[in-house]
Amino acid sequence: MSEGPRRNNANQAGKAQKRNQPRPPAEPTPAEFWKLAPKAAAPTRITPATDPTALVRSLGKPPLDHPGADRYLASVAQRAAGLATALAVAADILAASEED
Amino acid sequence: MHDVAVVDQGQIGPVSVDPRPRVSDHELAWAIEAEAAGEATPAQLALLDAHPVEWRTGLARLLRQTEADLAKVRTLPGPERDQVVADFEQERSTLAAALSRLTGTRAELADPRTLDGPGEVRLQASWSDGRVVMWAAGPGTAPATDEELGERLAAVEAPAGGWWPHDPVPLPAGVSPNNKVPAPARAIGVPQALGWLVTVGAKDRPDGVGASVLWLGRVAVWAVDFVARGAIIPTVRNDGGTYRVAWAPALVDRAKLDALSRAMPGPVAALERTDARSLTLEVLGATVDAIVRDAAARLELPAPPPVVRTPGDVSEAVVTSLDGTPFTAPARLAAPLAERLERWAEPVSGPVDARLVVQLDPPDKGGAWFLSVLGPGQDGRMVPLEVALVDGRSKRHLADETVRLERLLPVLNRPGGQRRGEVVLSQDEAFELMGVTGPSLAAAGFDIRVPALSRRKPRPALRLTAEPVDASVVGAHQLADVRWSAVFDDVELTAEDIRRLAAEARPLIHSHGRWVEIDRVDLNEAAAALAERAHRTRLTGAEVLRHAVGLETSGLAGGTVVGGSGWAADLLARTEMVSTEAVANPEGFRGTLRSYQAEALAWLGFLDSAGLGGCLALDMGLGKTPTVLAHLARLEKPAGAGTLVIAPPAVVGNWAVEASRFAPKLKVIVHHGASRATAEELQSKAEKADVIITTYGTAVRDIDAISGIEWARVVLDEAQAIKNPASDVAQELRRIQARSRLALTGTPVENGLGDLWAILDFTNPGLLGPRAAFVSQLSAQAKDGRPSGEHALRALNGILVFRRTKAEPEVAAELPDKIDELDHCTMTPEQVGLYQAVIDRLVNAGESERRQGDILAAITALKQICNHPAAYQDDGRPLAGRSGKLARLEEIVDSVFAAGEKVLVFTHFAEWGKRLAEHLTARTKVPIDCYHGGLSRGVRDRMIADFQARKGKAALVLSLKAGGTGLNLTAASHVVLYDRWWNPAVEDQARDRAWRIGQERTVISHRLVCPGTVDERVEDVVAGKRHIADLVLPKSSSLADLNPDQLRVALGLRPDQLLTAEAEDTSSGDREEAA
Repeated sequence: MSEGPRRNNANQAGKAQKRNQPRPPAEPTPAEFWKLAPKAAAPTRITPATDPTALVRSLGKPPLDHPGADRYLASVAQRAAGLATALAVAADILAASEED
Repeated sequence: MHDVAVVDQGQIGPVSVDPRPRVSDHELAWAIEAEAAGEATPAQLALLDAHPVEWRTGLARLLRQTEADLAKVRTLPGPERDQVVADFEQERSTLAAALSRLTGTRAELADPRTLDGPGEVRLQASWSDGRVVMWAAGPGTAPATDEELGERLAAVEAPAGGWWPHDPVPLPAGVSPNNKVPAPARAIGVPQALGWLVTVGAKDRPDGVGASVLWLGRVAVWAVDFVARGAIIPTVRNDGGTYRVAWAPALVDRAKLDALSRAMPGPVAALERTDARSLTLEVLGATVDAIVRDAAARLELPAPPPVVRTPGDVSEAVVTSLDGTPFTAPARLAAPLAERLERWAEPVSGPVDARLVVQLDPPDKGGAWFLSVLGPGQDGRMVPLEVALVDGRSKRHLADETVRLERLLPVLNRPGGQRRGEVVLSQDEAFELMGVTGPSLAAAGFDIRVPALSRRKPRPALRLTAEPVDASVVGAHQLADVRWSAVFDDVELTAEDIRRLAAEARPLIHSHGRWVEIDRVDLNEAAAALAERAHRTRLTGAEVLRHAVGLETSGLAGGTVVGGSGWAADLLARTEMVSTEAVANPEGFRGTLRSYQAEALAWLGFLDSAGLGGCLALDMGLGKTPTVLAHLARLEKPAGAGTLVIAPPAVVGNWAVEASRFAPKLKVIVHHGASRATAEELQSKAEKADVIITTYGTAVRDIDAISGIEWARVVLDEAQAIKNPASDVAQELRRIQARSRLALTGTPVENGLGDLWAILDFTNPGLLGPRAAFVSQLSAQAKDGRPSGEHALRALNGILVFRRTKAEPEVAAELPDKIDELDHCTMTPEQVGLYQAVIDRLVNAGESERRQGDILAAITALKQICNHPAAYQDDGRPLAGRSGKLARLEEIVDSVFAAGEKVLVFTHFAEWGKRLAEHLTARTKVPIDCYHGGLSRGVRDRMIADFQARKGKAALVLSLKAGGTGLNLTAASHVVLYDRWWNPAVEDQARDRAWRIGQERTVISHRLVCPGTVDERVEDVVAGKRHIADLVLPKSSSLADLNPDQLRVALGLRPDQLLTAEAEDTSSGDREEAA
């Protein structure tokens, strides 16, 4: 994977979306900068899907003129879910199965 | 500032008239809440000022209530949880601030919400250009230097590599927003920081990091959740001339996004002047992208097209670059594809408020499963899909979602449905939805409400429900009407139920709140088992009990469970209560029982109350004798005779000693030897005593007298003595009349299940049925790889048997490192004759001829005779049956070998050691060496190595002189000191061959002694009760000065203490260690 300073330019739709975004906030004072924000809720435990390809499949045939497109998309979803599960295990936040 | 605990403050003091106007609790509560929120009216402020105590108390109570509510909502399920938690946290924060204002102190919250306290420097993180920029500072502090920053990063175990220098982060300082302080910073890419961020985000309060780092961690965990669920979609982005695939989260929960955006600490946005929601989405997207690209890079994707000239080439470039690799393409071709991809993913790419609900109702009486789809209606409530599609708030989104759902659940499009989104499923389809399709639909973003399904295979069992025919008859002979059924988990099925289920495509039952599929083979077996028993409608209590303990075949994996009422059912129900009645310090018992002994005591009480006999099968050394004494001590002596204990001669003395030690109030009589009570006297003695102890030989010899007495209970110690039911001993002892029979043994299945049957048939005559059926039934059940004996003990444990072994961790944990046991052994007539002859020869020699050396030689001879006649004069005859000590050693070795363990046998007579090793080898068929000083070094080393390395049972005989020091023999867990040495330290050294560093088990040391002989007087010396000189020199100054009488006193036999084998066998038994 590439690294280093980089800014992703949005495409046309992204630019249009950006125009609709709220204006950037004003420069904060020290009090505003260090203000107490509500604590982010403790993370819920990760429950990997038994079929991580379901969402992609539910969208129907992808608009890609390639015979194996849906198969490759599903493979990526499957492999990525495996990696995410490994990350959850390493951080000890994998949910126990219901019948454990 | 002082911290104050949030507590109610009650008012204490004299009653007085309050001049203030009366105010209702509601008014006060509204005023308190309004003031805390900064919205109080002047009137409300005046009210509060007039009631300062109530204000403070009410505010504290409100804060405490909010904290309690917060704890509750944290446990809520569902997507709204995070929003609700955030709202309550905000509420708590507001109240805490109000309390601080009011009291001038800082309210101590149960769960402080911030990590960044004033004056505290912590690691902080800012988001910049898709990277994480780290720096360290805190409110009102100077930033950490770059060197300090490096140290802090290392301290929190941040990634060691992947960093590059970054421009200092400008931190606001002073009143003007333009006044900045630069904080030295370092940057790292998301892929490199990912693992660490997830670990930080998974913790509640990670050490050393500020709120901004924790927040980024929380977002990273959320990203992991998206990817793990497969909630990701591909997009194509223009990176300044080149294009790349970027992965984005799908179906982002709007409430959670808003809560996380509100929780974003200021430092996160120090370098990105954008609103919190956009920044949160940017961080989330970058993290999802990093995870998926990393995973995609591990796939073998096809090679990209060399040149992109056509729309097909762009599609191919996208597919081959799913790992984010940039590709070049003409904008006229790439931009339209990016837009098509965006439209394709549009149904799931925006934040979502509500999802379609797929609901499956449990089957109706006809077995039909109704499936319906619900969507949000005009007012947000869930309504049937068809209604939502017409009246709902976002019809287009609902239509898109419906199409998505129907793709994954095509059964919804089945013709014949009454309304869109409603269909009736077959059992097969319902099972498919519950087990397979449902989880996929959930992963695709639909809310699935289907009955729970268990994948666990239910274990079938037979249930026997008994109702006594005549309740006035109790005991094993009580007749009961019985009804048979099959049980799968908690579901009881009659034969008719099974027939109906068998006819279904998928036999499903509803068990423990879940639907479970029954295996057809199990169903058929259950049907066959019920058919086989259809005619068995009346059983005795004994038969019911045999079914319960697995002595009657059930044909099903789960065996037979007994319900209903009657003698057997009640008895089985009570066994479950036994462990709750364990008492470690029973009344009348001096000492403390270990946990398993206390449980055994409760079991003994259960046996007594149930009128059953049983087998207390604690491993050797676990304290059977103290447990039984505790049982006897806490019982009231019934009218008539007390308890008869029958034990091997070697342990009779020990029973008496331990009874006086642990249960001194028990009146104990030893019935043994020539001076024992006559048949006429025995009845009267039995009624006066609590416990009468005798040997197997004496019991058989006096069986007419003993069997004429009605005993409260009879206890057989070392009950393997009756393992041969055809033996005279077993036959004669069965004549004894006792209300309760108890057998004690550490090896209840020494030679097989037949031993166990013999023991249990003695304790409960006739209850177990015939021996052959018992053995075959329990052998057949031992299919799980365990030996049949162990299986049988497990099946009967807690009812007819109480079994505990040293191998059980909870038992081993309570045992000391070393247990010393003293075994009193008998003398055979041959030993007594030889012993007396040596004494006579010594005494009859003239005093003038007798020298000190002669006396010492005689002592040695006497000790050898105590060991064995052949140890004194080897006449070449076989050793068996000629020595009580040898018989006891044989028993110990048998028990040790039965447990698959190892034993060391020490003697200080090397020649005798060799004979012992030969004898034990021939008897056990296990090669047993003798380690002595006459062997070469190499042979001795090999001997030790062999013993240590051998698997399972083994024994080694050692001469005390050669083997007493320097060896490490931790493979052994038993040590026998066959004869005694004057110096106890020598014996300790011998025992410590087995007990050394590396020994993980309790070592049991057995010392063999012949009472009433010089052997015992050596024991007294070893025990420190006498000195060596006192032994032979009562009042004289020289051994040679002893007159014949003094010699007889010092060395002669003492008939009152001597244990003679008489006509009984020379066996003895293991004995108990003290509790």
